[in-house]
Amino acid sequence: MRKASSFFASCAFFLLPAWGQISFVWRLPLFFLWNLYAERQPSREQYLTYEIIYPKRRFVNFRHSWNGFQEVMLTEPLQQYLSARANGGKDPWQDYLENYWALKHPGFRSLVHHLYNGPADYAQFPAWFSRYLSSIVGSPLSRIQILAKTLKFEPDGRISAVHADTVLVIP
Amino acid sequence: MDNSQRKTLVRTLSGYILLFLILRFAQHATPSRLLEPPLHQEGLDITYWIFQLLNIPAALLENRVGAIVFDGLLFSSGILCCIFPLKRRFLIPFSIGLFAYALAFNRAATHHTHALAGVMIVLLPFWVAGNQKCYLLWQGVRYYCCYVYGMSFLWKIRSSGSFYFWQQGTGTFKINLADYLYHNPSTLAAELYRLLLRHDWLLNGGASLIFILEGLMILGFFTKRWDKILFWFPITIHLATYFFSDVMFFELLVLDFAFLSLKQIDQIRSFGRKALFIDYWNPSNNR
Repeated sequence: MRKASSFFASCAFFLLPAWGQISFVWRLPLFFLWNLYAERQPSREQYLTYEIIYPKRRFVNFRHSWNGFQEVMLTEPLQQYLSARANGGKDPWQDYLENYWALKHPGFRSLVHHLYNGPADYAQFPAWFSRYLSSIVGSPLSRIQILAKTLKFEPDGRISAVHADTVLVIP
Repeated sequence: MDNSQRKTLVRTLSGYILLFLILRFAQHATPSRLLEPPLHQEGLDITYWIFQLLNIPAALLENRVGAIVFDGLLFSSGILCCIFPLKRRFLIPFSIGLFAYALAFNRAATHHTHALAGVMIVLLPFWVAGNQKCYLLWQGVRYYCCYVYGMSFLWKIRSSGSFYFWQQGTGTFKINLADYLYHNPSTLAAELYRLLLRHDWLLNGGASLIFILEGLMILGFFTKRWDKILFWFPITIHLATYFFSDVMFFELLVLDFAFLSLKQIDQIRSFGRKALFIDYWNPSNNR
């Protein structure tokens, strides 16, 4: 009896929040949407990658999957910064939170401005990126260039760059 | 669960977590080495909202001294947990620190990674003093592990049907490994990857197998009879995703210890004692 009740309590404890996160607007980290690769991933014609080049034409190369922590810290904020720049210097979250979420939940309106990046945060990003990469490389870097490269797979599995564009230069 | 089994479990879990914390420190991914990152993302996660609105990141991430002190406390409480596994005055701060670290890292990375979810809760059962209550909560961790993989499987069936999409393996492989293949074309791994791309049924079949293993974890809700086998499923899943999706989720395997029986925990204990020559130096402690 005790076993059965502990089983049902556990099921309720773990499954109700799962239902909740689907139904409601907020999420909890312990009940993440465990939906990695749940979206269909059809093969594409082209893939985008960012190449981070620093002096003497060296580039950041994440050779091993255990470099993942560093890779996430370098590439995700970089993409955030670039997407904000493409959005006129505004955090894309700002649009969503201010113009959609806060309208639906007016009681939280005064709080939402803490939850997105402002111009001052973006202004600090290039200096931080340079400082962080310098600490990883182990020497101060004077110039960092970031290229957005479009890659294409050949039928034999080889891969080549079809286009490269400088998206950011940090002096 | 008795005291010696509890000690073994806490030491094993804390040691496992510490190994990855050391790797994270070496990889410049702990607060003192993030050098005050300016960007953040809370998403729609209420925990991150509370974390941000209480201004905790200002002390942990945006203040150099605060970040160094936090790292010091996190590592020292973890080491003390290994040395004194029954002392909750070390275990509780360590688990709070891990929870805060997970939020701080994901927030600063502007990407809510899933790998730390296990680390965030796995020590919570040991906050409780009584061994029987602790063991019941430890069973909750086992259910949570079943939930994680089971939910992952259900999403693949329910949300977009990637389970039924045969090209999923190739698509996932290409999107994650394009960068590696471009920058490292002459390595042995790149040679193997190109071979797999030419015979993509291997990648697609492998992806389907991984999805099925995730689904089979649901069995753990109904019986413990399969635990010896279920234990190996998350390991297989994360080894496969490490090599073929370029993502390291080994930290999540901390939940997998919940599939060990008490007898297996005793075996780990006697193995540890033999490996460290404890019985040789102090035979009276041999239980």
